[in-house]
This record gives sequence, C-alpha cells and structure tokens, in this order.
Amino acid sequence: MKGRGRWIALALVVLLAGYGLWHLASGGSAAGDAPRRSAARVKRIVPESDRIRVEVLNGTNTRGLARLGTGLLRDLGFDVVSSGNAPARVDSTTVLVRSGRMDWGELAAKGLGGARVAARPDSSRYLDLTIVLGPDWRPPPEPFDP
Amino acid sequence: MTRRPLVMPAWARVGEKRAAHIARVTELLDRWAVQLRLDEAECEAWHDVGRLHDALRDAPEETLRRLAGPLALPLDVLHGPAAANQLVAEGETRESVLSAVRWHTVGHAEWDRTGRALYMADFLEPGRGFMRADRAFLAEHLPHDFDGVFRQVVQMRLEWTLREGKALFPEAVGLWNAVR
Repeated sequence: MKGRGRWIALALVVLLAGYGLWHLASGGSAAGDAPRRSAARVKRIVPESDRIRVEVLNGTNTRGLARLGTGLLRDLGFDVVSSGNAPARVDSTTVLVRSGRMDWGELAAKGLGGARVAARPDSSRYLDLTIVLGPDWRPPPEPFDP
Repeated sequence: MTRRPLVMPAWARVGEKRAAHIARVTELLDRWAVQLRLDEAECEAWHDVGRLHDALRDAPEETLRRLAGPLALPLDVLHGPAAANQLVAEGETRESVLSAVRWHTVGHAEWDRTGRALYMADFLEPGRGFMRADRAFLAEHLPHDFDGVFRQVVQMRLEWTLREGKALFPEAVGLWNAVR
C-alpha cells in the first residue's frame, strides 16, 4: 500500500511538472500575476458589411489614450470618426450607444477587453457609439524594435 | 511592379523573422520609389537601405561593439552604426545610404529623403501588429504627402519611445525640432 502511494505521488509530481512546463511554453502567467494582454495581431471583429461610427474620448489624465484607443478600434474594424478628451474624468471605461444598436456597444466593449455599456440615444451626433476610456483600460502592447 | 530579389551581404546576421521584416521594408521602399518616380540612383539607394538597415540586427553583442566603435550607445541601437561601418569598410561611399542605415533606429535631423524614407518604412511596414489601419493609411498616403507623413511618423515614434519609458537620443530630439 505504501509503495502504491509513492507511485501515485510520483505520478502527480510528473503531471504537475508537465502542466507547469506546458503553461510556461504557452505563455501563461504565474498564479497571482495580472492577466497579460497578448501581443498577437489584433483581428477585425466588426463584420465587413457593418459601418459602426465611433467617437473615442479620453476620460483619464493619461495623455495619448484616445489616440491608442483609436488605433485599436480601427484595427478591430470600427470607423473612428473623431477622438479627443472627455469633458470630465471617469472611473471606468464606458460605451454609450447613440443609435440603439446595443449589440454594437457590446461588440466594442468586448474589443476593448471589457467596458460598461449604456444606452444614450442621440441622433444629432451622427454616431453609433461614444467610447469614454477610463483608467481601467489598458492599451494593447506595441512591440516595435527598430 | 516586379519584385526585386532581396540580396543580403555575406556578413549579414539575421534570423527568419528579421529577414521577413527586411523584405517587407524593402518592398515598401521599392513601391514608394516607383510611385514617387525617383531616378535610378535614388531608387537604388532606397532599395539598398531597406535590405541593409537590419543586416546585423541579430549579430552577437561582441561583433556589434567591435564594428560600431567607441560609441556610448545601448545594445539595441548598435546594429545601425555597426552595419554602416561595415559598409564603409566594404567601400560604400553614398553618404545618404550610410547616414540612413547608421541612424535608422533613432532618427537624424540632417537626413535627406533616403534616411527619412527608411525611418518611415521601418515603422509603417505591414508586418507590425499594432495600429495597422492607421499605419496602412499613412503608407498609402506617403506618395502624396512625403513631409506630412514623415512628421506624423516622427511624432508617433517619439510618443512610443516615451510611452515605453525608453531613452530619447539627442539625434531624435534634433529630428523632432527640425520637423515640428
């Protein structure tokens, strides 16, 4: 019985070591680390048939966030028609749906890696979404080694 | 437009991924050269800086420091000066080619069009994974507004440098002051 227990323990150690190696090889983070955004190429998520007009506003004190958000959203397939600073600072990233298409708001939130989505209809803006980037939004990595 | 074969010098040290980057940069430069109707000598210079700028990018530190000479520069920018010095040793005399290769990682205010074109192509080549839509737009727009796109690229590269917390070299600051 004792010998059998030793074999089981050994098998568990081998299994755990194997999992650890696989986890490291696949780019996984160690337990307790903050989740890392992949440096992989951003893929378009907006269907080619849709044109989703977006305004991107920086709701933080971090300079350049709207430009980074614009770059990401365009790569995701959104048509960013304007960007700038929000009139006030915000606590978290918010997608305001102007045209009634809540599914487009959800799509943008997904592309940003999570955001609050709220309906704020306003047909005078000729926009589908207003995205206010908050301090919780992390821009994707820009690997550049000239 | 027929694609020219990419001939690397025997002393080049590049891995597979780097070689693909070099090919994309050179292809972009070749395309712009045709669109801008450059004369043969300038076309050749643009093609050469594309294929040579990262020729030593994957060379060992010892080689880079030996070739770069007594420059107080960090390792990741040494491949430009090292490649330029190697080219001089091989008899390259085109100053615009040497300056473009030497300073392509940091920029230089004294550049002519060749250095500026390489600086833009290195950033705008389509293989990079970030801001693809914006960079593709700038790459397309360049033949219509060379100076405007150059200014935009200088700004984007400096912003990236600051965002990453990397050092700003005097040459980069000089370049910005020259185009701002």
